[in-house]
Amino acid sequence: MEIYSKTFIDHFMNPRNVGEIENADGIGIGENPQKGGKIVFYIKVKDNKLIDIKYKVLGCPSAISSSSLISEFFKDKLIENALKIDTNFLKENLGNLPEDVIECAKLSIVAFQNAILDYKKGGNNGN
Amino acid sequence: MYVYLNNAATTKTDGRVLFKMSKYYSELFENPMTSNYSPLAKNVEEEMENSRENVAKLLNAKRDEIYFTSGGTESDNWAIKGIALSNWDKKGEIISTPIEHMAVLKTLETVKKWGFDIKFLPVDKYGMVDPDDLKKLITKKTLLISVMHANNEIGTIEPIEEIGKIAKENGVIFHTDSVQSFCHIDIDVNKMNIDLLSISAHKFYGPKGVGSLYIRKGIDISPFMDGGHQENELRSGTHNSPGIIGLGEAVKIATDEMEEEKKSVLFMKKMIEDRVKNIEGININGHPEKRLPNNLSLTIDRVNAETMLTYLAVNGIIVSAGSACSAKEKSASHVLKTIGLTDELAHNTIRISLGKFNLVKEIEYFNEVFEYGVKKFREMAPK
Repeated sequence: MEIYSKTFIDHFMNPRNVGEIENADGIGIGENPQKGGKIVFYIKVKDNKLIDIKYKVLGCPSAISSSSLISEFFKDKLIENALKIDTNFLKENLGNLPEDVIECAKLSIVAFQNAILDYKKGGNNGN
Repeated sequence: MYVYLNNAATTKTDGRVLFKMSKYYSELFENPMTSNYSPLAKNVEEEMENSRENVAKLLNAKRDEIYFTSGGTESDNWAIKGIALSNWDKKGEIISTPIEHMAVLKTLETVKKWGFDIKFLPVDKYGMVDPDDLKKLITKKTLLISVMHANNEIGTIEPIEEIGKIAKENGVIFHTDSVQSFCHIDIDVNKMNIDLLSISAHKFYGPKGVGSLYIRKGIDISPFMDGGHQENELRSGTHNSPGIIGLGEAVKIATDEMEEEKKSVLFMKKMIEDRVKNIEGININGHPEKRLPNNLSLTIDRVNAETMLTYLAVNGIIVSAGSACSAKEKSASHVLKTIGLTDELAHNTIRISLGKFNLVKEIEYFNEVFEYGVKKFREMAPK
């Protein structure tokens, strides 16, 4: 497993915060039908902080690791910071990954940021 | 535990083969082409000829119909390009299948650029060719038919005896890529009317970098490797004598032990099949009966292949995936696509290929880890 860092493998084998949130404040989807990847993020927001983050993921190892990382990192953080992240955030925290692995991982950022955008629009994705 | 279940990709070299080869790197290192004046080289030459005999015996061919190459890829290249080169002026047609190994498909692409027509036989959902389709496709212009004996991804064994019969009736040369089948299931080049046949040592517990092309006497084939006088002026290049001798030893071992291996891998494969039967949403690809004894291609609903592979690997188990997810090969496997799997399902497909070194306790371990993994990753999936 030389291509994956210890942190990556840890998040992959022991993903944090997997699940759904009933009555979520925002729900976001990231999908790549050609590769069969799908990630759904659920968030609960209070006082502009992400007080709960959960997700469901079907996809390659980097989709799982990056989702787990995001859910752990942004718990109780300000929502505005979450919209600023890109793949560099993943590289910094999961170790230097090959380009194709980064492509898969991007899906988690898409899903997460969609959940935030959904919240901002009034959280209708849940309905 | 380290459990290696990727024998279709390559196999561990049998210790007896390694032992036999080693002195051909050290004391008996001389070039066999100098055998007319070096007694040590003569020893090498004789041992190489024994290898040739071993291969011929297992194919029911003649010793001088066996040529040594650098492996399956070269043998496939030579078979097709060699026939094309021998028919350069009149050109003509070559018939093959869409599920061949890339070594055949890429070679056909090149030969098409040379001006030859390439036609593909359809295959059914099991990847099986219907010999009647071949009868319909053959014309007076058909020079060569190339159909693999058994498919490396899904394990389906093609009806090559019928194909050989049709080829012979129509005066068409028949090549079969037997890289996955030789030394694992029976092959008789006479009974099956095979004219050209490719094999690769590292698929049957021999060394890497060496293989063979069987060429029926009387077939007019041009050399692929130009240069020296080796292999009856047909395949130049200093002999990889340790490799060739290793290949011969591996064939000799397989001649004695193939039946035992078949029984063993079938038993272990059944252990996996029985476990898989009780898990919903898992489909076995390829023909249910006419398949390689060691091959199991599984499409797993709601579980990504790369994820399952990584999870198994972290637990010390090595299998392979039905499609590559690297930047170099972003598309799904051509074989899985041909038999009708969507890109999505192809990305959920893993391949397990057993070998003679696997043990029952390894399979018991695999079953536990695999079943747990399927459950774990399905629980994580969105609805």
